[in-house]
Amino acid sequence: MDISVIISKLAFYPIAAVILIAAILVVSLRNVFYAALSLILCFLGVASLYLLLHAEFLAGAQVLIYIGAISVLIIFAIMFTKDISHQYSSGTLLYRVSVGFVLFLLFLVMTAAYLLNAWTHAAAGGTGVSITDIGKMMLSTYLLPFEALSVLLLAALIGALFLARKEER
Amino acid sequence: MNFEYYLWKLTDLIAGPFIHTQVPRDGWTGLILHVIFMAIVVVIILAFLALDAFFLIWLERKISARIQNRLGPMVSGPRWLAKFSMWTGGIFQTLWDTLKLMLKEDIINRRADRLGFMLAPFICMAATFMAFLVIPFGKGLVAQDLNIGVLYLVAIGSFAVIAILTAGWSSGSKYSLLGGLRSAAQIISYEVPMIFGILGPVMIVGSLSLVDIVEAQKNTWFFVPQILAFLVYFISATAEINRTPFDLPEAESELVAGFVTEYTGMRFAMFFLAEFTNMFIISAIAVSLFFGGWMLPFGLEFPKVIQLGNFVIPYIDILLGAVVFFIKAYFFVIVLMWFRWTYPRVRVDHLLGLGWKVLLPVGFLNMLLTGIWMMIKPRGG
Repeated sequence: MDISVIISKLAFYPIAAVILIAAILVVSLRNVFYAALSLILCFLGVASLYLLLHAEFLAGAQVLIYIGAISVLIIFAIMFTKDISHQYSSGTLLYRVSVGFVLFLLFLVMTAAYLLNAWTHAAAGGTGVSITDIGKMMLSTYLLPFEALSVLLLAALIGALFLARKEER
Repeated sequence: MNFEYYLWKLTDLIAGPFIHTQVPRDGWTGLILHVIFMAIVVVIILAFLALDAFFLIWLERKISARIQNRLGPMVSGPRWLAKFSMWTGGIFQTLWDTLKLMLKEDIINRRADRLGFMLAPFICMAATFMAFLVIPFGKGLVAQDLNIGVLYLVAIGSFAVIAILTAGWSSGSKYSLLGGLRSAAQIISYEVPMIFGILGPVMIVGSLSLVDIVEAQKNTWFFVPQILAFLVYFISATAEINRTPFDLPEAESELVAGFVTEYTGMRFAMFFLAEFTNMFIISAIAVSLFFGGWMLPFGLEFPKVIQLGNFVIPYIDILLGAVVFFIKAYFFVIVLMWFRWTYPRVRVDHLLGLGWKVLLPVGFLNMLLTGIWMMIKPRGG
């Protein structure tokens, strides 16, 4: 076996273990702040997997967006909420069951997606997709989803502004 | 070419006469050597980081002393040195500062969250350290020329936010919490205009790699066509590292010392070290993006070798290039210090107004102008 393949295999299992353990910690930790930190660790693990696949741009974007923006937003929410780390309640039974149901549906969808797709193995040298390719695809093949996403974000922005203004009055 | 390339050359030079062949680049030998070389590079960068911070703290003390007539940093140390010239007086200032920090008791507040409190300085330091991976100190003097270089630098910045928030939250003090929140809010708001400032050179070169960007500035440094981008970048970057006039997170009069309030001794020193190293990093990025990195202006070049009688000294251009890079980078560090000791602190609403209402539109305008310029001149000049 080629050395680079051995190395990437050696690197894959620890990273995968970190991702799984961090993901379990996110949902099982009682301290919300630690849960948020575990989420960051989990995202970091996913970014490392992208690096293993030589998808550097995806790794950078993952860190920038999921750690730099989304996790920070979550931590902000935690810090602005009074005494959140001392509240251990996780909602009523109905709430728990409905959340569980939604998650089960998500699990089914993802399993179906996994089973129904014919996955191809990336070569050891990586996928060979450069930033230029991603940019070109975004502005040609995937133009419609790309534009739709920006409309969605705009809607979210206006919604947030509306909510903030309402409280002010 | 990167640091490792020169280490390989050195290995070939030393081992060549014994094994009568090139040292293998592949296989297990290559792999083990690769790991050893990367470790050497890490040690070099760590050593540089410590020395650089040591030097910068001294420089900051000296400059503050000159600007604001502070006595200690002008005279501490042997008296005859202080009489000799303005720069030799106070030569022991950093030494005393460091000793003080190391001897201080490590206090952990009873209300603090121990794990988060202990972890935060390390995350902060690691984030700072990671930025050195892509900074080109000279031609080929880069730890790893990533093809996402600039994106990597911006992404690494998010770890600093996490560290600051963790420090603020886990200190168990109101001042730390508010300071942490302010700091993170400021960093996130100014990240946006900063990225637009960085995008100017990236658009022209069409590459995110810092080495490519520097090499594209052979004839014209980008601060000439990209003066707006440079101003936007430099102002936002000053805010990103919480330096005066944007040092609201540690506004003494309101928040004691912001997120570092509860820290003492070495833990405090690590935040301090990170701050000073960040100053060097943003100056180094400014130099790489807008001021031609290791290159001389107007396409001038250093001689590749110097002949001294029978001796030929190779790589002299690389060495002098690194010197040029450091001169430029420290120039911007001094400008940052100059800002700090002469400008008053901005008010928090002015801070947000400047970021969103001035810098961001200017960034957009610059992007538009750059786009038009590239359309007119399609070869990318």
